[in-house]
Amino acid sequence: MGLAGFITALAASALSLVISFIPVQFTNILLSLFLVFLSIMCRVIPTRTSLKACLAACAVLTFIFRFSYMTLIGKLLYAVLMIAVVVGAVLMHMGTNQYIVKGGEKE
Amino acid sequence: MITIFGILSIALPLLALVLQCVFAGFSILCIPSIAAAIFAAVAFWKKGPVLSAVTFFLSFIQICTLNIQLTAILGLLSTIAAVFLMLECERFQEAHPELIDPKAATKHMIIGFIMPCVIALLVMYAYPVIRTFFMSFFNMPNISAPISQWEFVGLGKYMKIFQSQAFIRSLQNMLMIWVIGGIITLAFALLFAVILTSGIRGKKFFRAAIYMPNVISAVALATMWIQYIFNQQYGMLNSLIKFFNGTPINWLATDMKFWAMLASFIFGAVGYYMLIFISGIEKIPADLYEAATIDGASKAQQAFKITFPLLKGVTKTNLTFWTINTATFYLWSKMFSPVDTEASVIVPVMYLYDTAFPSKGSQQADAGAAAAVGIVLAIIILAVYLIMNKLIKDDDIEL
Repeated sequence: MGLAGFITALAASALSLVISFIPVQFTNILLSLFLVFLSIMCRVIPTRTSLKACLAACAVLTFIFRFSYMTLIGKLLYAVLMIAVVVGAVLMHMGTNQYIVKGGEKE
Repeated sequence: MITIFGILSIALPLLALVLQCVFAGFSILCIPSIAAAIFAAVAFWKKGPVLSAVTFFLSFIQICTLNIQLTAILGLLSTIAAVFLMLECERFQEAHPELIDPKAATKHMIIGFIMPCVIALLVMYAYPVIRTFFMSFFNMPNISAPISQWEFVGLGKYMKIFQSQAFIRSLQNMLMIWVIGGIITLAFALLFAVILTSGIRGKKFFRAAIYMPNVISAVALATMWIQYIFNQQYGMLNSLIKFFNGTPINWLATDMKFWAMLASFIFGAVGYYMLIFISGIEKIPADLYEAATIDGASKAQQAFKITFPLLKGVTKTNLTFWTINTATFYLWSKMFSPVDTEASVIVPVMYLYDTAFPSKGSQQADAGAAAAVGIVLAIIILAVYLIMNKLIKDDDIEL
């Protein structure tokens, strides 16, 4: 579940990074880069709940901040992608919880 | 490590702020950077994960607000530094559980949750208020002119507005609305409230009926009064006068317009104040009335000896609301003189609007004078509130 969450979040963040180049929107690129960074961080340090919470919150904030700067298609696409990032963060969190419940130890 | 990330979290937003100021000048867009640097410093000092999380979000906001590519990249870097600071703070607290003050964690959590609202309040409310205050001492080409174009004139704008006949007339009109309208509105509101809480039948219906004008849009209500009640040919009032063989009156002529406007405004306002009075009356314990009834007090005596004295606090609230309502009176005035502002119905807010955004091409916009009007209004409201606080003391009901 953790891996699936990571792939979902990373893929959605990376896709948002790609569409930030069509047309080039500098702020969108930076925000998407940060989402990619956070997704990777969530995988590297899976026991930190705060990172996943930040990833989900940043996805929501990214959409809110950039809402007025996007076209209708961009808004729809971004909405789907940001929801995917949130879902990914939740899956990663659930995966970590499952691991701990099954007997894994926290770092 | 915590030291490195702490310093980076403080330094990067500050660097972004300096570059932003150098290349684009200081503006409201710089506020997240300042806030991020301050929070980073506090988070680093307290080693608080929640505070560093707030730093992280403020740094994240920077990416959007800093509008130069270089500063936006610095914003991104400071956000990444803030993430590491948060992780390091968490690690530090786990490594040193003896240093954790359980109360401090709660305090940090409270600060963290309150901060977004405080920042929003400062940006949305405090900033315009402070800017308006400073604007009232300056001459500027228009309301959104950059600070570099402001020219200090001291109290010149205040002198200007108090020398203006239109402003003095608007203050007189406001005073008349406040005194005459206030007495009539609050008297009717209190009367209706006392009647409706005296146990009459159909209380809910009458309460809803009297409150109904507040539900209707004020524009629709004003139009209704102008077209259906005050219309010289077909209006209800003149129809009544004609029915009794009287001479129709032009209610919307210059000399009558103010009173027509005041009457329609009072009609719309009574219900609101009545509801506040009702809530005050319903708070008075029934025992007092029962005791008074046993002692042989009539309904009128109960109203004068129990209800009115115990409504001091509610009356003060109503008076404050009425003062604010009167000071911000605009819509009715605009509806009764839609094309050109007439002296008979001019009020300070209308004067303010006309000064800031003149409708006539020949008039020049004066944002400084408009700001001065706003400050004068705020002072009036504050003064009235303070005087009422001194004069009317709340009498808490003792049981």
